[in-house]
Amino acid sequence: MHNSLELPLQQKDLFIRRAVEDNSALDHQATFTQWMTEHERLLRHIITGFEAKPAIQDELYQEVALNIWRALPKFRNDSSVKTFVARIAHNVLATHVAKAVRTIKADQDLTNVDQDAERDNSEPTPFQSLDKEQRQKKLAKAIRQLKLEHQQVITLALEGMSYQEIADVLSITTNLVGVRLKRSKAALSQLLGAA
Amino acid sequence: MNTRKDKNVDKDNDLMNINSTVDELNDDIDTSAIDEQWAALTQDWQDQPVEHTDVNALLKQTKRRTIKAKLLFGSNILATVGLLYSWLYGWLWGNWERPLVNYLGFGTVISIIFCYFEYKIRQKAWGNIDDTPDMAINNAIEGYYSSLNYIKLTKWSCLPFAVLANYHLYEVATEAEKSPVKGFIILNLFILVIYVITHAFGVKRQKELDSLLDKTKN
Repeated sequence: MHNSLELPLQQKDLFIRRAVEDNSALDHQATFTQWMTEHERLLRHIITGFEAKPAIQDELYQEVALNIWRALPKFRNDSSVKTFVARIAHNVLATHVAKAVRTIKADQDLTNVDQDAERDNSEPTPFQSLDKEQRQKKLAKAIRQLKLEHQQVITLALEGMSYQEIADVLSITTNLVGVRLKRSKAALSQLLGAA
Repeated sequence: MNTRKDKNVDKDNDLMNINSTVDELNDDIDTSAIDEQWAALTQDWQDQPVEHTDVNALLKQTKRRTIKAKLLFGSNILATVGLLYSWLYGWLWGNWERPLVNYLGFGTVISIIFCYFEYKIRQKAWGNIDDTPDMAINNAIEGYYSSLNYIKLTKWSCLPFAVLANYHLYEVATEAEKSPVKGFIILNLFILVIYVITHAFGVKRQKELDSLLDKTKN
């Protein structure tokens, strides 16, 4: 028996569809807020490895956020959220570095970089004996001197990502991750004066 | 059909096969010193202080930027539809003067071309958001080419616009029995300024593109 208050089937479908559309807009916002809150540290850290100036770091963060917002409907759960947001961040940062508009010289001579880093700390102190804040600054600065492909793998490896996760973010094989990571470590080691 | 990811992987695999000595070379690289410190480095990196963002403000700002971009595109389409309507109305029902109808007609065509290119540029830019980072560099290069094409279009459209606007001004001045000289000077000066600014912007973009191409070659 039909209830007189029951909506006809077509109207019901329309009603549900509208509710779903309204909900999807809300879901979009909620998901964006959740992702940006959960992965803020990861995104900020990655950006630090590519850009030194805080004002530009903020611009890049906003640019990454905007790209995540736009790409969010494309997320199909075939990768983890961490991998997805990291890929978008690296996409934005690769463009930023490639444009070379406001970044440091990527092909700066390694010896000069090392000297610059040491000058910053007023005396040539071994890396291990620096205080934590100095070490963090020196590490970030050294990473920014690396070649783009080395910057990419090292920032992700330092975030504790596995070879597979790094390979997913950069769309390269795990073997190539290994090759690039080893070279990145060697270059980083030279820059930090650890070798 | 191969995806971009597959192509990248294939390319990387080829490189790996061709360069079979890569691993051997890698073995020659000594990373023992940094490997010993790796845990400490990772800890330092992950403990870096970060400036906390007001996520709600970020959400508002992100939505505002998206809406602004859409509004800008929407306003261009609206202006084009307005022009098209005015032209058709003036031509078919309004009995407007011929110079004005011609002016609106050419203006409509130019506006439609602009909207088409703007749509193509935006579609391309927004479609590349979740590409791989390697593709980001190619996308940046493509973006520069698109931008340069857009600049060229703007710059060279000054010429038909100048002819059209001068013709319109002449017709209006003749009908009003006034001298068009002052109007010609102001109008052409205005078009010249637009041309020069667009040209300067194009030169700047070309330099940036050259710098980017140099960097990606190395």
